[in-house]
Amino acid sequence: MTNFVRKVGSFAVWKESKAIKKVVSDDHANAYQNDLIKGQGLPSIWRADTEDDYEKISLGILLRAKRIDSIRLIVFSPACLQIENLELLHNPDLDFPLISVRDKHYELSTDQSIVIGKVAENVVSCLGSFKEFLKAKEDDPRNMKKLAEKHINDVDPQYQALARQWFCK
Amino acid sequence: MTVQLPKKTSDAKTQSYIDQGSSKESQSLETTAKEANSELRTKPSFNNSVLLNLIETRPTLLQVQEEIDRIRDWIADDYLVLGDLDLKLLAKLLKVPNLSLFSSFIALLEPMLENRHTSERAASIIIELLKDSRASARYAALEVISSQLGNIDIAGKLLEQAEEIMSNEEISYIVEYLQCLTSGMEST
Repeated sequence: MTNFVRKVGSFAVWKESKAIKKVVSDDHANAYQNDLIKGQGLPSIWRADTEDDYEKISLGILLRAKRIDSIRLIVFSPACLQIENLELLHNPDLDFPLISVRDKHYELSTDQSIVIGKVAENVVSCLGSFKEFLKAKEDDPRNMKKLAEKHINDVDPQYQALARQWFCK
Repeated sequence: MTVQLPKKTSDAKTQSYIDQGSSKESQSLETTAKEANSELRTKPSFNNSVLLNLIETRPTLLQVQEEIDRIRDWIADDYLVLGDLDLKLLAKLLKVPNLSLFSSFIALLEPMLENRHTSERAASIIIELLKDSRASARYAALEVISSQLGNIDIAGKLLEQAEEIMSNEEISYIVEYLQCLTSGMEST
């Protein structure tokens, strides 16, 4: 099923609101807004059509940062993003390290805090979920080292040596 | 009474170096020095408290996040970036009742746990966070541990301690996450 995803540093503050299905406080709302707009330019968001897409998007983000890490994704169902004044702009990321997902990059066309606040409300009120890939947990079949190995053939040649370092260690 | 300062004896020597200043060697030395200098300037100051310097500039949240990303990279490369004052300051900053700042500063703990200069101190900060009255602080501490599981031994030991400390945890999503981490279950 098609969803959209965006990387965040931590779920800790999100989970607090998710547990009661509403944004706990204004301080929480601010933190969500910061997570959703952090970075240069329009907020980045990826389309995931299959389970593999989540893995490839995560791996690509880490390869581009040149550092293996755990990764945490906020998962938005399409309904999360059906909000007035919010548009998803399709903007393929042609240099993305994972070739088959390059076409799945979008941007949120708004930086209005009210609209972004509504996205956060939708996420915690039940339309959103969370997905985490840990860096190296041994008994986890989907740790980033194993995912680097699994998707190596989809990695751009420029990043192949780095990806190999991650699973050959 | 004025004291006549002795004339620098190195003047003549300096002059001779200047005379040779156009040689290829001195040019490449100069270039190297320039490069090293500009590289140094991009690094956090190792002699001062980088966190104190950061917060003293009254930065915006975005500036805090960008600087922390930069510091994180240096810590991850095992440099001695955070001094004693930083470590004390970090423990305090993680108590600040502002969730955006909390989320920004806690990002330092994961690379700190792996950095040989800060590993021990990071572990003790994490243990304090596991006992914190704020659910988000306890959950975030588990996230830091989870990120290093399978990567460094201390993470496994911290997870064992977390199970003990959190044996009476009442928040269900925290209990579930702890269970995911201690079993082979997928953590979502």
